Amino acid sequence: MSKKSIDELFKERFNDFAETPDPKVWGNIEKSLDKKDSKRVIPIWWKLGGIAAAIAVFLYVVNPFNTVTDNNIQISNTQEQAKDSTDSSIKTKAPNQEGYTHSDSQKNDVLETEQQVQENVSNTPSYVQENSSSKEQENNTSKSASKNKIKQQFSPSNDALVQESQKPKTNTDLTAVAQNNIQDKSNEDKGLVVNKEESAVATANESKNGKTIEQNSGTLTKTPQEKNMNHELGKNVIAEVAQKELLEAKKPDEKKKSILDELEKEKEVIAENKSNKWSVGPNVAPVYFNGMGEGSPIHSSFAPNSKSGDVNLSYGVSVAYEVSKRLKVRSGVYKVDYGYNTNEIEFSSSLGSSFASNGDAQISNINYKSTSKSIVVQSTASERVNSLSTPSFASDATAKSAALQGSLTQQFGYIEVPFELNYTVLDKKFGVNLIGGMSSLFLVNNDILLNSGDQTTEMGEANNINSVNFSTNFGFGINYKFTPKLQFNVEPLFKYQLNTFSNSAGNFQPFSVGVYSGINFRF
Amino acid sequence: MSLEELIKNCEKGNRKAQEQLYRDYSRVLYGVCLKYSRNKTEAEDNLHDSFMVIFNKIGQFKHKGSFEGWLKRVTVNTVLQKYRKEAALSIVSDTIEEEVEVESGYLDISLPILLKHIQDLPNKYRITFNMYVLDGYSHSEISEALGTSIGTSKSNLARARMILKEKIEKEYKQDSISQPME
Repeated sequence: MSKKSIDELFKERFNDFAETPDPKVWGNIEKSLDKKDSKRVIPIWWKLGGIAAAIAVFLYVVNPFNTVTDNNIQISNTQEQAKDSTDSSIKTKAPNQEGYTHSDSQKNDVLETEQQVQENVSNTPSYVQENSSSKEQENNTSKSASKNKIKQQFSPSNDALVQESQKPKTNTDLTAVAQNNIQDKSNEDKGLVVNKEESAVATANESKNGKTIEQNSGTLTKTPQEKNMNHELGKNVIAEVAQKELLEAKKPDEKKKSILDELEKEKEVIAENKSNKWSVGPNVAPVYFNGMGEGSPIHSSFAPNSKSGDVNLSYGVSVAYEVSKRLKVRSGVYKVDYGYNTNEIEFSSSLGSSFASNGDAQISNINYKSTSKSIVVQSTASERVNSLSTPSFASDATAKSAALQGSLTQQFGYIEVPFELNYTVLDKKFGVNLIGGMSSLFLVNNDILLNSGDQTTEMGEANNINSVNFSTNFGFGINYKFTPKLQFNVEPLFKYQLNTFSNSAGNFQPFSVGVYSGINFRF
Repeated sequence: MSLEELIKNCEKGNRKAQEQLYRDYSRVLYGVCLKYSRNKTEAEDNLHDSFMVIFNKIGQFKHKGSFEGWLKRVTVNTVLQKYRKEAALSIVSDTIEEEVEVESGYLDISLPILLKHIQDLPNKYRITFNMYVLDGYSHSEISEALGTSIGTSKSNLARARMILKEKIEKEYKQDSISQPME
């Protein structure tokens, strides 16, 4: 009975081996793809996140809150080195290739023989102690010799190509090792993807084999030498294509990858840093201001009038310190403007300074501007003639006819310094916080305006507003973490003003509601 | 839909195209996974992972070589990720035989049994045998992929052949009790 190589046995049987996988595999793939798709919704924030990340990296470098640890720098350097080595190994590939394609084929033959001898030599130490080692060596030597002979019969360019396909391989070897090292450090997800990609690239060389095997499968009856030759030939042609393809694909891709990786890793390293208990970020909010209860801080006569709140802008910077995993103390500086309107008023010009001088027609809570001293404002809200001027004047026909409808706007601007506690209820990618605390408000702006139609006149400023007042704040916050270092916040906050006015008529209790949104960077 | 269109649509994340691609190539790639994995379950996992990589990287296919060849390479590489570490650890063995021969009568051993024998090989032997014998990789490519020396790769291959030979002969002897050899 004839003998058959075990390789042949398996090759024959596994040629075109294929089998239908269980349908559940596709089900699982679909599920995984769905997950990936749902993650893709995030890119809406990517631009914003990208800008924020750039700021974060910038702030990290010029960090005013913390010292940059040497550790981080070292790690990023290592990466750069690794990247450099990758790049350089890619670069060295090209000249090699060209060099060998154009060089003399005779030389290449010599080179190849030398290489194979070297290969044999390098293998030798492992078998030195073996009895069979000499036999093995002979085997190899004779093999390579016959190989060379056969090759010489073929066109010289083949040899050049063989050489070519061998040379760059050692380079990719280096690359693969370098990249693997990096990958070990990176987190698993990324590692996998990057790694897979790299190995896909690294094995572009291997591509030729997939094909050679197909080509070879038909030539089973040939002698080993012939097969060898075929193998080499098939390799050569495809190897060249694969190499070029590789070079084209690899250069730009890899650079991009490594820069991205570096950024990602830098962020991670920063995130792992234990000292990053501080966070800082800009916030902006539309703020609605109004008062609860009946009353008026301007004058008692306006107490029954309807009031409407104004929406203004508040903006500033918040700083937070993480006391414990769930509890943060935070403060900051905000500029905030409040305003509200007292409607249903009418105003007219008084007869002159006589009223102004005796003060009867003027609202005591307002320090009138010199240009507005003659303006008499009164409420039309109630039939009770609770006017500021004397009843006789209010009912005076001439005075009434001159009166114009309008509204009073009271505006005040503050510098707000909050002091709040932030308790984390949910700390996932999406976080939920409860927020409570108080603010100190320092008055910087104070106006009372008279509006009529499109016209606005500045009447003066209120003299019953405290220059410092306080508010109690509470609300909740929702945040979304782009990275452990960077998050986006939305915080609807209710602020109840405590002592805005030194004497307010009625029961006017001002409050503000703002939806604060901003980005937070951790240090 | 032409192959190019199919690839383009897969790249865009079109689910129908992805399913079509799966239907067209899952049999071949599952074959690859079965050879390189230890059992059916692992092969299914590896097929899943391979397709995830394929859908992710399909834009990188340059339409120059065979698409199936590219898919196979990605699959082999994906599977290698799992077994690489273990496969790299190997002491260079003393028995290096280039040709391991068995009786040609053994050829009628069924494919599932041969597959089982391959799957039962330790990782390093299985991968080396698959790559070298069934998929035509060279020792230098294998050693590169596994991060070992060429010597280790040759040694692994020799061990794989020996183990397979023993298993096949054992199998055949059991068979030959009922069906005596000529």
